[in-house]
Amino acid sequence: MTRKNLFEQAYTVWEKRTSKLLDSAMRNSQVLKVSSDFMNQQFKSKIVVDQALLKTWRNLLLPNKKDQEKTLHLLNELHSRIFDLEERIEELNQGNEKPLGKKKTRTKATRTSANA
Amino acid sequence: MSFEVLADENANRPLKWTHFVPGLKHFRPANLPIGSTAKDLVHSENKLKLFRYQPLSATTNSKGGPILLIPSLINKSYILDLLPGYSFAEYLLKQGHDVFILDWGEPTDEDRFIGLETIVFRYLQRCLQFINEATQQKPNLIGYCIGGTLAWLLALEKANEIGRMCFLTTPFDFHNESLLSEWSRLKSFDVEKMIESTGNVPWYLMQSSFHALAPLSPIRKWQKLAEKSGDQEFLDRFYALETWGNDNVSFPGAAFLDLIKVLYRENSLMKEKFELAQHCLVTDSIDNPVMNVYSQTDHIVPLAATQALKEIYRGTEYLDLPSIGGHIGAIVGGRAQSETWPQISQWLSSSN
Repeated sequence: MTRKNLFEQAYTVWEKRTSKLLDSAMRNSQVLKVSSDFMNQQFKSKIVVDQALLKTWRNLLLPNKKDQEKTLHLLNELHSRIFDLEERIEELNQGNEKPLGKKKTRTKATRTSANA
Repeated sequence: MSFEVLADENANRPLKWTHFVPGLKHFRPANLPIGSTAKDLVHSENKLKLFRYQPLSATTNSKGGPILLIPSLINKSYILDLLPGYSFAEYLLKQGHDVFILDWGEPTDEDRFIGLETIVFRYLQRCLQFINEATQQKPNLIGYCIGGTLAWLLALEKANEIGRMCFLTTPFDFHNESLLSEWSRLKSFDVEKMIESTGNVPWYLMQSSFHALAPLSPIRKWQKLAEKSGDQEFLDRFYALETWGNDNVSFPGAAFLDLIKVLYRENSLMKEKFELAQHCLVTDSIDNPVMNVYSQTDHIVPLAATQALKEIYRGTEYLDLPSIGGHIGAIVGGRAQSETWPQISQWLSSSN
């Protein structure tokens, strides 16, 4: 047996045992409880900081992050509603009869040679 | 000891080890032609983009109908169009299919309010409708991972507008033995607090959870890289996959809440009937032919989670297609390319 084979065998045994150990640790209810509690605490702290900032901006009569998020979300909703209406109008105009093989695009950039 | 052995090995295999550093230098992610199969943007809504690939062959396979590729919400869509000669989308095009692909985009802060209902019954449904109108044929859906779950949810309401459905390592039974399932169902995990605090679930939180599922796997990965550092083809694929694996996107907050509550905790997909926001969904409603591609060694979506499709599917044409590799390898690995892709293409070419 070469030294390489010996090392590989030893490594495989170590890998299996360590994986098993880590897996059981990750499933251990106490470990998970401590991790969850820690994460929950971090989230709570962030919420407190965010709310303090939110109140500050509100007191200054300025829009805060949440206001901006809601406004942008509503704009997206409106965009979707416009699509709904477009579809409805199209259906009404065509009397539900659609031409075969219709070329259809619904974006500003109609042809994009897409390279991510 | 290990360094000593490696040094010995170095002496025995000078070619491979001397290729290691040049191999690493080769890593220029920006230069890799990732996701480069020519495609046109045909529809967009919020961050979602729907692309239609330009045909590669003169004859398109009208018999099978168009195909819509639905990637997972967690990663970028180019896993299904990785590199020229190593792209699932390109392969389907070469077989003459008319292929569309969804790109979910990167959610920004305001997208925290987007739930699964919006994603499935607005965004995805509109894409389906769009393809229906543009091609006058029912699209066949190919969903990868959670993308498959979303396709299934849509089919529960719009089965008559869909052709065939192919699920690639898709979870259906969320009460399984995987760590992800256990963590998600923990009572001490306060998902509402998390969403309230973070808005969208940050990609680094998601990625670290996935890394924690197999913490030792990077050692084998880098070992393989060292061994194959002289193999240009391997290097290209390796770096492309690494680029994709580290190119994660955040998860929309409300959608994550739905994912954990409706799918992981209530395991709704395994029920006869359940509600998702305003939609009452019944499992009996799907009679479309389905193909289930899975891997026995998938540590993210275990076998039992994908095989549960057999239990909930009430239709007549069900096909299992086992693949080799892990969650990603089973879909884009070498064996998948030579064995799984041809079978999927052939199956999709069957008339509806």
